[in-house]
Amino acid sequence: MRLELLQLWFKPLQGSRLSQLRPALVAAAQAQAGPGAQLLRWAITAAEPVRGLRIEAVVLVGAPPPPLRP
Amino acid sequence: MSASPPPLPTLLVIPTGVGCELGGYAGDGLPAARLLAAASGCLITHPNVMNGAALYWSDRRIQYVEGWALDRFAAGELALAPVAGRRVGLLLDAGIEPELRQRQIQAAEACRATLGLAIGPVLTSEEPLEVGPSLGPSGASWGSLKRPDALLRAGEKLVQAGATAIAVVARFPDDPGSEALAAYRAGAGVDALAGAEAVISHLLVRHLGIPCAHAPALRALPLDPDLDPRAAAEELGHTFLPCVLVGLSRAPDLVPLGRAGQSAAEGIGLSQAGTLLTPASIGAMVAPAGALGGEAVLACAERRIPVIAVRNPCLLEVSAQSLGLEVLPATSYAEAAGLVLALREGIDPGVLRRPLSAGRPWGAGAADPGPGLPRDGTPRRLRC
Repeated sequence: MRLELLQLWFKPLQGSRLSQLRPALVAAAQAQAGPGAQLLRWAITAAEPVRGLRIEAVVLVGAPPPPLRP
Repeated sequence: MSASPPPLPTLLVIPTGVGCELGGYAGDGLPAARLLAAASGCLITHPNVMNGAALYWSDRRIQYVEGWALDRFAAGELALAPVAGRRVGLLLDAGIEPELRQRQIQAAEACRATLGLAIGPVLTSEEPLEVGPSLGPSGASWGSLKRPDALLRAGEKLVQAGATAIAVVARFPDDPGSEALAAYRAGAGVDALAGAEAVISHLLVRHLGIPCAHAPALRALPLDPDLDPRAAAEELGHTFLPCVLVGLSRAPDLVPLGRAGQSAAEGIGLSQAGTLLTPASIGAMVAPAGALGGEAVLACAERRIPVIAVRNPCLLEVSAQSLGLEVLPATSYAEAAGLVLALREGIDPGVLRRPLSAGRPWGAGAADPGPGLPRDGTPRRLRC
């Protein structure tokens, strides 16, 4: 199990940003860190007209999915 | 009939490690949280807002919810169940030197003896966690640890031993001569530890599903006569632990939604005990106007919960305009509290400004029941 920092630029289309951001972030995390990489913490840290949104994130690699329990 | 309107559950987010002028230091967001709790009757906020090292404020109207869980709550995936009290296990990093370790244990014993908190067991990780703070391209504080597995194993053992919340103390590298620390102590910098602290607590909460929060272990700094008052709370004692223990001692249970056909979007209002806070009951979100790019804010905005964007300069410029969000602007937390009170009283905030706006400032559609009301339009009846 390990943690990695991730940064990407993403230009969303019209509509819900979250529903576009989440899969894009997961795809970027897995492209960088391998299959099974999961997002632990992320935030949009810049928003520019041309490049879109810059997202900084911490990715968790090699961990089981979150076992949400009551 | 009471003259007081029912509480308006309100989220307060002051993101960690982005240098917010108010709330970016040692628990200096606490006065704003107290005011918003009074205005709303029920405030849900995160440890970065409430933690002032040896200083803290306990208020039944404030729910202390770690950032990962707060994001899940805002996204409609978790509900919160307030509790009378809980047993806080103490997880110490094996990388802490014996004397500093003893200081942490004494702080916990003081909270037990003087405040009556239920604390224990105390457990040390099998190996040093090796925490490393870092800065992102934006200058925001991030960070990592080399042994997340050791952290999670220790957390599992504490839960097995009866802890229902976990306070974790990790050894952070001392860097007393750094320019970043000098700027922070002078009131002009980013809390360089905050990002790594968030990673640690996110890991534990995500894995264990119980409230967790973090305090760093550091050697005492040399006296600085020019210390900024906002950073002063961290220099009053030997540990940063008391605020974490107090916050966790009454942190709400985290109740996953979306199981057994329960719809987070519909919400369930009240539990049989009458105290379950559901995402559907959120009436407002308060966040810095330049740091609106977090998951909780975006989730609230997409769920048409009024977002109050407060002027609170930080190193980010992720504004409502740049994200295309509709918000209620506020020039201070005092004004934000007024807006929360207006929403709680059922007053359209738009009518309090001139010129009178043509439409509703939060951009609600015709089918929307109004600010903070459940989607089915039923009146809110909540206790916090």
